[in-house]
Amino acid sequence: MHSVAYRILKDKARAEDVMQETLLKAYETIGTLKDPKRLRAWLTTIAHRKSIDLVRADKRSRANHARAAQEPTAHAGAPVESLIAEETKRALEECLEAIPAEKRAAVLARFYAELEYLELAKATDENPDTVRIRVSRAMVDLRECLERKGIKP
Amino acid sequence: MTERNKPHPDAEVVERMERDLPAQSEAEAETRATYQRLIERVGELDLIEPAEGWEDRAMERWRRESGQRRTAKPPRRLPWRQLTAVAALAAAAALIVLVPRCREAEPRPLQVAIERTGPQSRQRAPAIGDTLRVEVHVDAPAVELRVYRDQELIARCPGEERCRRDGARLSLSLVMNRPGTYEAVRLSSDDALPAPGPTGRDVDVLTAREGGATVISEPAIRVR
Repeated sequence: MHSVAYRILKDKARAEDVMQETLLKAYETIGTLKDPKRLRAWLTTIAHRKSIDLVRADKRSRANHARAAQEPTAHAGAPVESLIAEETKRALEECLEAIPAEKRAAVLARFYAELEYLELAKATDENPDTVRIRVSRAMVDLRECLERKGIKP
Repeated sequence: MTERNKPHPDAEVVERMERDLPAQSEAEAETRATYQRLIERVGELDLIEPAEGWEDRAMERWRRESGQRRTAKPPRRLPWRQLTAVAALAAAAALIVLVPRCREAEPRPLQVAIERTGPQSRQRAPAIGDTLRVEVHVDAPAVELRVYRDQELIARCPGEERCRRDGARLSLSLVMNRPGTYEAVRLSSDDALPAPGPTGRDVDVLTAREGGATVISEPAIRVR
């Protein structure tokens, strides 16, 4: 939940806000969860919706990206043998940051949080086909970005 | 690349892959393998933990907000529940009388139609000058019809002179005088609906849904 919100918003304080709001919302509406096995997806859907809501409502969040970029990354001190993997990971984080927020959110919700397209569409109040197209185009953007950095996915 | 531009051929490959359709060629299979690796890499991104003490902060907020809810004065409301119950009883009585006589189709909550009032052309797609006619069925204490063009609110009923109320029907006609994507949205709730905001359709819909409203929309109409 926090990972998705942070990567969408690029701001730790706002990501924590989203997480808190998600938990509050979940506490109030737990009765609407139809399938308890989908609890994780359900929570992520709420967090994703709230994050997107913030992005759409506040286009000025772009200013926060620069601030977030200065925060230390979580993988200092990695073993030498995983340096290449770490470099790829870092490049991927940079590329995710470089693509538009809605594309980034769609990719993270689909492949990091593993939401289904129907869940994603419900969260963003869009047609599943629209979301699928957005995800596909975002993946092409990511590939092109990585290749510009000399990294083959 | 924006979504309006011509898509990269790989986007179609990823889309087909995501639809679980088989690869059409060896080249497509190779391309898919690349994106499959990329998908795995996204899935393997590090978990980003919230700053230490987040549980305490979340609990503190929960205590604060639940305390506020307990001490807040309940808003004055019309006795909608009672009114709804009376209306439901009246409707039930009317049904008992009417159903044996005629079985009318249940009214659709939202109906959208386009009248060809624009310049005649061989194209069947809606064009500038055509008239958008929208009608909603009023079956809740608060029902609102909104029309957005490219996310921006351009009409709202009730609240405008061009809105027409006829019994349980609320209707609106407007000439689509500019290119764009027009979308009619019906919002309904037992309580007052949140007013539309400056950020447009998506946020309005989310805000209304989060407030417990039911939102129905028809596929958007693109006018070129």
